[in-house]
Parts: sequence; structure tokens; C-alpha cells
Amino acid sequence: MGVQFSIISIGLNVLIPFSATNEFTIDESDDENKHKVNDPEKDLKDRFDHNTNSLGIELAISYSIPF
Amino acid sequence: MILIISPSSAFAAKVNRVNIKRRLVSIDEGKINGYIKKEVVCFYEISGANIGCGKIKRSSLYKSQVRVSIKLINKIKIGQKAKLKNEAKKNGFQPPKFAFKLIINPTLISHIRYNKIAYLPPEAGVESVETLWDKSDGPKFAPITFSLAGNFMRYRTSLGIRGKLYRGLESKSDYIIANDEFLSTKITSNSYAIYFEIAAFRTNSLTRRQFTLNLGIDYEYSMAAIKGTKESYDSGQSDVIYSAKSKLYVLSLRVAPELYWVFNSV
Repeated sequence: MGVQFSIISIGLNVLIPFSATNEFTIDESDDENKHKVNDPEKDLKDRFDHNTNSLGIELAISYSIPF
Repeated sequence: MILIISPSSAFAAKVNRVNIKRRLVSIDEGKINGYIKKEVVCFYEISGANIGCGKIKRSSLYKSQVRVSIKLINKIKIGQKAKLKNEAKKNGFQPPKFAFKLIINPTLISHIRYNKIAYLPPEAGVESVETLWDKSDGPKFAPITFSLAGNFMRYRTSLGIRGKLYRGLESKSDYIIANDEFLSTKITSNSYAIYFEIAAFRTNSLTRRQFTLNLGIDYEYSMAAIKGTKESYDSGQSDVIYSAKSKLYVLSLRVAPELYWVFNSV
């Protein structure tokens, strides 16, 4: 015996990163200036700085359909 | 993110109104707790003594009207308790085992970052430089973020996936000073996550509004691709001279407070 209903919700998702692993690879590099830096791969990786912040916050607006 | 209902709760109702002429008793429980049409509801004195029973004539999500006999209607008073007769059906509203949840997640603060970069050509004749890249702030948020979750409602748990599509970034800078060549650097990025949550705290009863605090673990894979293309202003010729990929795997703690509203859709 079921009752048909639906649920709408609003909330926050707070994400607190505690572990991160970065893999950075250069597949192609034909830069004629690359010999002018010590480590071209590290240079690009460091400047790009793909990493985590101390926390993230998302708004979450949802619609649920029970079965 | 989860609607929690205790299946073993006895959803006792209270008499709100008595219409003697029409032999109808209004109570403050409805479909959501198993008080549905034709179910038998019994009324009780404050002492607990059973006064008598009647059948539900109509019910909405949170209210019902019970038709009773002429003899019984005169015994029922406002404030008295009422319950479904059949103990098994007292829990007639069985919370669904599963609910499918569609979510949009506008990012307010991103927990993953990267920079926009532009090529920084060495001055002519300089043999050694500290860096070949100039950096500036990357995207603050992903314009398209969506989640799909499965809620195992009776077990207070939820398993979901999330996707984020970022707007591409592009910068153009000289490749060699005093030359007609420039380097176009394009960055494309997206990320995908899987998460698991459990309702650590919730308000007690199933009501029209409920607050839940979910705690969980979130595992996100973020990928960014960098492509540097050397182009010529004059000839229009282009060559890809940089191609790089950055993959970031992030484990995060999820804290997700949520307020929800239940709507009758029958």
C-alpha cells in the first residue's frame, strides 16, 4: 500500500578535501624555448596548479521520485 | 539528502472536529501515515478505552475524515486519540525502499582549483628564464553541475554521482617576441564524482517539512587538458606544440544539511 508523493529539497553540500593525488603528464612538447627552463614539465604543472581548496560549498536543489 | 521515516512508529491521530449531523470526525493524520480511504480507525478515551471505530471516508496527505455510527458520534470529543485498527496497516505508509533523486548543484565555492595560463615568451637573447608561463585566476565555479542519487530511504543512506562541466579557457600570447607567431593556450576541464551519505541527524517525525543532516564521503576525479597551438598571424599556419593532461583524484568529507518539502502527487 503506497502513497504517491514527491519531495523537493534545498540544501548545501559542504566538501572538505582531506586527500588529493595529482597526475600530470605532458604528451607533446615541441617548444623551442623549453631548454630555457630547468624542468619544463614541472614549470607547467606548478603554474597550472591543479589542486584542492580547503573547502567547497554547493547549493543542492533536488526533486525526488520514490518507488 | 534522505527522507527518513520510522516504519515502527505508531502514528496516533487526534480528533480535530466532530460533525454530528454528517457523522464525520476529522483527525489530524492522513495518507502519508497510512490513513487512507476505507481503512478502519478506532477512537479512544484519554484513559485508553476503545470507544468505537469507523471507516475513513476521505483523506488528504495530512488529514482524514472518518464516518462513524450515530451511536458513536455522540461519544467522540475533540482532542481524543484515534488510531488505525489494523496494527499491520498502522504502518500502511511504508516508506519507499528507494527514491531516485535529480539534483542541480550550483557551485558557491569550488573545492577544486586550477589556473588560467598564458605563454610567457623569453626576451630575445635570454638563455635562461624562471618560467615560460604566466598564470591568472581560473574558473570560480562550473557553470553546469548536476547530480543523480539513489536514496535507500529505509536505510537512511544515499549513493550518488555528480558531474561538472567547466567553461573552456583560452589565452593568446606572443610565442617569440618580434615575430608574427603567437601561442594559443586552451584549457578544457570536467570532473565526475561518486559519493555516499548517511543521515546522521533528522527531525523526528514525517511532516510536511523536515530537516536532515547528512554526512558522507565524496570521491572526485577532475581532469584538465591543456593544448598549446602555435599560430602565425601572416600565414595562418598552426602547430600543436604543447599537449598536457592533469588528473586530480580528491577524497572529501561531505556535510550536507537539507530541508525538504513533501508533496502529495496523487
